[in-house]
Amino acid sequence: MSGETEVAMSCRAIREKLNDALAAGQAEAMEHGVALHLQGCGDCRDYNSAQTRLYGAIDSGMRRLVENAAPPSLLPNVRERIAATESGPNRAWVRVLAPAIAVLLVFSALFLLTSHVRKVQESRTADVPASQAYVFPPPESRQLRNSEGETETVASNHRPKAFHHVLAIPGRVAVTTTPVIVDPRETAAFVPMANEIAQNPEAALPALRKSALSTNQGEAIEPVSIAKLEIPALVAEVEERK
Amino acid sequence: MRELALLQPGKLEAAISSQEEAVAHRELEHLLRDNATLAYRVAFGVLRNAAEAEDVAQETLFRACRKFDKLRDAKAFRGWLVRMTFRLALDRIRSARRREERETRWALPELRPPVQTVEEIAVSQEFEARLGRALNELPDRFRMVVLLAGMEGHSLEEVAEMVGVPVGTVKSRLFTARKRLAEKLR
Repeated sequence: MSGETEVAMSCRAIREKLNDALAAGQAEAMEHGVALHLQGCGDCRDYNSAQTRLYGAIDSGMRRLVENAAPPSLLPNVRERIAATESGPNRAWVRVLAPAIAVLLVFSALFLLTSHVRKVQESRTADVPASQAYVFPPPESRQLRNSEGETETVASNHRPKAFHHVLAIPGRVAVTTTPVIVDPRETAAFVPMANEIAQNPEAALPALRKSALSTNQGEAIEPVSIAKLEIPALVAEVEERK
Repeated sequence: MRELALLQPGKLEAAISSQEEAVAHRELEHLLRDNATLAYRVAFGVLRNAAEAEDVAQETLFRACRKFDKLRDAKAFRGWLVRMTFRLALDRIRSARRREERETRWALPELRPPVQTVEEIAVSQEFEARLGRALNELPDRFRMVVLLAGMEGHSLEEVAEMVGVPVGTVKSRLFTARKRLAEKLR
């Protein structure tokens, strides 16, 4: 029993040594003891042959795997790519210009973005184009004057989207310089008239006068002037009637 | 008069510059010719697909050319090329989609080495498929060494130079790699 164990262990040790030698590629430099064991042990000889074949197959398999010739198109393609790069813009200049162009692009993008935001904000504060000088941004105060000339508190969350700030006559002959806050939806009818006045005050005067005179007191507000536009003839006429 | 003209600083510098460029171009061409096959083989060893290996080799050689100022030394060039090829090939192989393609192409007959009989073909194909799988399972550091050592004409010293590790490390990695491959293929 002990003799069999000794032989078995010896075989295991021999096989390990064989494996190590094959893995290290030194099968020829076999130890004397290993060679002696192989002479007397058929199983280990078979094992050695099998392992030698296996390592041989691994080596030849690896060679087949890596001993491929490069395809003929490889180098021409590389040369082509290099030539394409060299014939492009001067690389030194590209290195200098690229950051400058990048900075320029970033600033342009920022400028476009801010101008767009500004335009959007402007379009939100006024439903009419900015060229119409009589339209003002809504006042910050929550104490707003209504179309009757009275002051009232308007909740900010209920405040109309944009107010038009106009001067008006509250009554038949009265002229007021008090700014009146009117909901844009209500002033829709005033807008063309005010535009007409702004463009050609003298021509609009007869119609304006008629409108002002026909208004019933306390019923409506008629625009006869706007904040930054003076119509001296009309003001004088109204003052005279007063 | 002509000699005087040649001594003018601007022209002299231009002449030197164009001469240097010509020398650099020749050196680069030389390095490309010497190393194209190596790059392709490393790529093929990892990818085992001719088209993909060519793509990777081409990309690596192109990148190497762009770094030519730093890689003028032939040894530096070769080492950098091998490591970069290996890395690019691994990047490519790690995509699941490409792995599937590779397995399919591995089975294609045109990629098999020529063998004599139907039986040998079957045995060889099966063995190479198993070898390929076993190779894939090796850690990268072992795989690179076993591939480079598998190429004819590469001494352990050359492999060490290319991988950038001492010769002793190459020996140890090669030993472990071969042992692991044998265990998987036994």
